[in-house]
Amino acid sequence: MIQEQERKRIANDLHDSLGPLLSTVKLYLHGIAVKTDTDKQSLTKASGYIDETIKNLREISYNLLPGSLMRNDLVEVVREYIARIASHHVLKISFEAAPEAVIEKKIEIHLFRVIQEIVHNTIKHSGASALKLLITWQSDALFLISEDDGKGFDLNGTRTASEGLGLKSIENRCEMINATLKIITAKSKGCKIIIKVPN
Amino acid sequence: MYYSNINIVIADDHEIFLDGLSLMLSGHEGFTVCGRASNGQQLLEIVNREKPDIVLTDIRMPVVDGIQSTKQILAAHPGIGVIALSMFDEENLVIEMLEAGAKGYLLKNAHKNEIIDAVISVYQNKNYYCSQTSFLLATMIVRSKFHPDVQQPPIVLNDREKTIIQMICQQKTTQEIADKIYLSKRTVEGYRVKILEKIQAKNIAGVVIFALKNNIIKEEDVL
Repeated sequence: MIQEQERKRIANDLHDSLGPLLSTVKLYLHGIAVKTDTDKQSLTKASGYIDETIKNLREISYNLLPGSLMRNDLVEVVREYIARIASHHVLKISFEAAPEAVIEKKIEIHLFRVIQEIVHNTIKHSGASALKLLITWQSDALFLISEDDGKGFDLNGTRTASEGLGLKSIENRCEMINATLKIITAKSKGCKIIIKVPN
Repeated sequence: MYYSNINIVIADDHEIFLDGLSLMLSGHEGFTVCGRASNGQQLLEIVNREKPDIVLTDIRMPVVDGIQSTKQILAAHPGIGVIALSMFDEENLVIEMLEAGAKGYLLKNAHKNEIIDAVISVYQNKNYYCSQTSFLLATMIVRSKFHPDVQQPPIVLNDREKTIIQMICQQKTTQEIADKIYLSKRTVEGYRVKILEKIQAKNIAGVVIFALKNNIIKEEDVL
């Protein structure tokens, strides 16, 4: 939790101080009267680099803490996250959430981090072309299920350091919200993850 | 369009940004910045005093925020055009501003020409959607309680125009559209201009929102 608070603080700082400063620089830049073509080009380039910086800021800030998670619900935030991923990755991600699923505010951030981790791992290690994400609900529990069509792995075998880290992170998150984690996978059989969060 | 003078009040809790914005707007011929506020409370006081044509306001501000201010401003002065100024990652707040009555929004790092464009559009009583609007935001806008101004008379589009709108929403270039439907690049360019005029959109964002609202494209096509 302390880590989440740290992230929140940093994300807010980025958002509130650096963002507006950069926007202001851009305003002043465009207020400079340029006459020669070379100067105009320099100005355009400078302005472009500022936009690029703001874009990067946005990505960093978003990865630290999706702002909308505070103001909106998990499903919307996940959709937005997937849309961002789709714009620079080949992996096709589908996401469905049962409308009656009730997700407690305090576990939302953890579920979101788990989804981030799953997506990240899938892109980095699985070689999958498609990933399905599903949130469903039964009277006694909430389920988060993911399934990819990648190369799978040997559950009991050794994993690369980063693969291990990714899974460990998911395990930790599950512990924090008292959820159970089940992984179904085998070489060339893809990977299915079932997380059950009891009510 | 000819306008003699547009009076603008701006609000932002970041003083440096307020300075820069004020300087830029005042430098544009025909614009007058008649007030600056650093929170919603000040904004309301200044607007009641100056009765400007346009208000450009930050969304997150202390004391009273942009959303509350917008509601109160429009309750007292329904003719004022409010434009929201947003940082990144505030899509939901932008929606709330539109639902509160703002006529348009801009990202704070928008190009100065776009800011000027937005002020003039809203002064002419048209909506303005920032050119950097993501498809996701466009979809959220269409799904929200915000209703873009109803066009009088209702717009009639022929099949060709609808096809071109669909391709514009898929971000195809004029050349790509021309190749796909066997027309010359110049003809397609002509269509683009005509379509923008017909639906009163200033950029692709406006086209996407119009197309979604009128079922010319579906969410799945753009998301």
